[in-house]
Amino acid sequence: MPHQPDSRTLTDAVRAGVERHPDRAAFVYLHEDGLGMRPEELSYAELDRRARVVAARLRQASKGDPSRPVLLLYPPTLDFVTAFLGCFYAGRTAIPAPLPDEPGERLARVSGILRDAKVGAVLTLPQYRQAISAWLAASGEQDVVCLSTGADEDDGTDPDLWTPPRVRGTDVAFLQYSSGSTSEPKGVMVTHTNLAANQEAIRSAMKTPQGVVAGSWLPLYHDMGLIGMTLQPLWVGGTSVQMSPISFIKQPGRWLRMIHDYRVEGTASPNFGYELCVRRVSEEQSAGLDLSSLRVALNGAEPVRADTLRAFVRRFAGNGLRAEAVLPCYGLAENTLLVSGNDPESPHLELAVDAQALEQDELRPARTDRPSRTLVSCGRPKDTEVLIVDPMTLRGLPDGQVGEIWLRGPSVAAGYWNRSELTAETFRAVTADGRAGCLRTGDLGALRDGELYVTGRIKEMLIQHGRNLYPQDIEQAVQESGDAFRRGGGAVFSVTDEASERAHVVVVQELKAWATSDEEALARLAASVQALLSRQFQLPAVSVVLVRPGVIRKTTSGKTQRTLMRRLFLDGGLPVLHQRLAPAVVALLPATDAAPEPTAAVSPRP
Amino acid sequence: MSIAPDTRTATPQPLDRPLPQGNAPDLELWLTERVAFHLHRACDEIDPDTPLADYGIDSVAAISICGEIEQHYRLAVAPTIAYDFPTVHAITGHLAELLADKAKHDEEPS
Repeated sequence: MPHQPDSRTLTDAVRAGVERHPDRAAFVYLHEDGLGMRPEELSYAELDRRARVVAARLRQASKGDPSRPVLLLYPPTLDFVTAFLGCFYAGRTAIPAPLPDEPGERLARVSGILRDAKVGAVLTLPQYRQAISAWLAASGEQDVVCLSTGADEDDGTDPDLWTPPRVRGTDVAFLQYSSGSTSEPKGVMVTHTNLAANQEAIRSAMKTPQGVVAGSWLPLYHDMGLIGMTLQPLWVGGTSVQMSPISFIKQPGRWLRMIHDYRVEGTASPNFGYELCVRRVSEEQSAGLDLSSLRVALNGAEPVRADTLRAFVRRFAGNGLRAEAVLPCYGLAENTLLVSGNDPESPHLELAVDAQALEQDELRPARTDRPSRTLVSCGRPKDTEVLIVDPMTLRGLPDGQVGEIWLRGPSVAAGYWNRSELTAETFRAVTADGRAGCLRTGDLGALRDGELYVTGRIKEMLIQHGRNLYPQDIEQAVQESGDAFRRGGGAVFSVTDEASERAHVVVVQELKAWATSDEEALARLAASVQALLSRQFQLPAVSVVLVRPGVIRKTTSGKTQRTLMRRLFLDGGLPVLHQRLAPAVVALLPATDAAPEPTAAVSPRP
Repeated sequence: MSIAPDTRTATPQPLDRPLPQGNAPDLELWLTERVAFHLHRACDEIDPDTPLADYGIDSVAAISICGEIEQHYRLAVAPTIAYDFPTVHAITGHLAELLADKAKHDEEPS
């Protein structure tokens, strides 16, 4: 098959699919129906027809400025996909977002996007139109049109009214609001050129065949779910099989059954999805499943754990799962999606490195007589040039040295919507030796023999006496030091004592349920953590807070929210089972009515 | 052309075991065990009248519990069940009602 020019747009890709195989399923959505799953299929021809209707209606209905983006508020359905493509067909900038169907965090987030993006129109399903119109009015957005779409909502609009849009490669195809806080959302501007470049990068990295079958439960407004699992199959005339995250979490075995039923070749999930399968899919559920069709099972969007990869492969090897299929990758919305991924035909690399050297920002082979860390390679960079840069001096660093990951290339997005200062800082960085136009990712990593090892986030990094310590390393060391500690249930951060400007390390660790009652045992556990960290990391008298399971806050994708945990700790908002705090740390906490228990504070040991 | 129509297996699971009975003590015992599993606790730590929120339930655990109920009792319940009925007792009461309705419905001649 001749190579397609990179300048083609998503619209071109879908139209090509319609011409070649109009009846092929572009999408299959698995709806929960009673206890089974009911497949809903959408052919290329029907996807195209509905997208043309959406585009024609958008053009008719929008009186205002067509450069204002279109906010898509849908539950997980194929109607989201037709509306998203409809925006491309209309030459409008789309914003995928979750349906704000419950008050709280989600509504606040979408309200923030509405304000930030200067949205011109909202698309949703008929049953939400009234509520969303009321919400728009209450938000003071009088001139925002709200349209409902769906199979029965054509209102007689003739799809043949549609004419292809004239778009330039530099036009913003969509805004990805995946980073930034709720109060200050940041919309990553992904241009048509960016999207084409990254789709091609994914295609060549994963060796995606024409007509691929991909399958996923990731949310459609999430970059990995949208770019990787929804648009990549469209890009190559393939089929995307989907279900909602809720369907998956209810019964993780459904994901594996989907792979079996549809002979899925490519899938993706953050690390926690693979963990859920290992923990919750019973032998009875996995019996008879054939996972041998799976060529690529991407693991990204949160730290990739070597033990999870091993456990998943071990558990499902009997079902035909190939070890090479499990594929660690690194990407971020600011680079459209993919930066690097392991080769799908060879096993991923793991690197045991010397822990002390890593603290000094160097990858050195582990020694048997010293503590070590296992890093998982995220493969080789694809269309993107990766620079490792000292975040303070902005000097480029050689192979094997840890620094901030900087990126250059055609997938690097155009910036943050309406934020020129932040865009200049983040997307237009210049190294000390004058390499310009770089994206600062805020992630730390190193290159070694061309492979990228991601080691942490800058903001969460602990700096102790000039050494860089990675919270996840300390968390893991604590969790491996005793049965009572819950795996993945820890948050390590530092708090700074303003007077001396000294940073103090705080370990918040969940205990397993059986270990939470005996006060004496708790005191011993806390002391053992201090001793361990003193021995292994040369950290004297860290503060240790032991808590019940479930106290550590995580994002919906399973990332530990260390910054939030630090705030909760400093506000005195943690339900503490037992703690041993350094006096300087006690001084940072809000004064309580009761005097601190004598056991609560211990003096630093020499 | 439809995708892989021949390889698709029938989705509903076969009825390979008798449907569990919906009497309250059994229900509570079973639910307590599953709640404990998803909250990473021991069964005897789960007090039936303590809100699950006090045990630090997150959205993954809440949806998981919903999924277990659906699978075990072949009963569709809202994903928010652990929030709508915040304790083991409250969920048990709700389930007992649903199961009684279902039994009545199943007995009616079609």
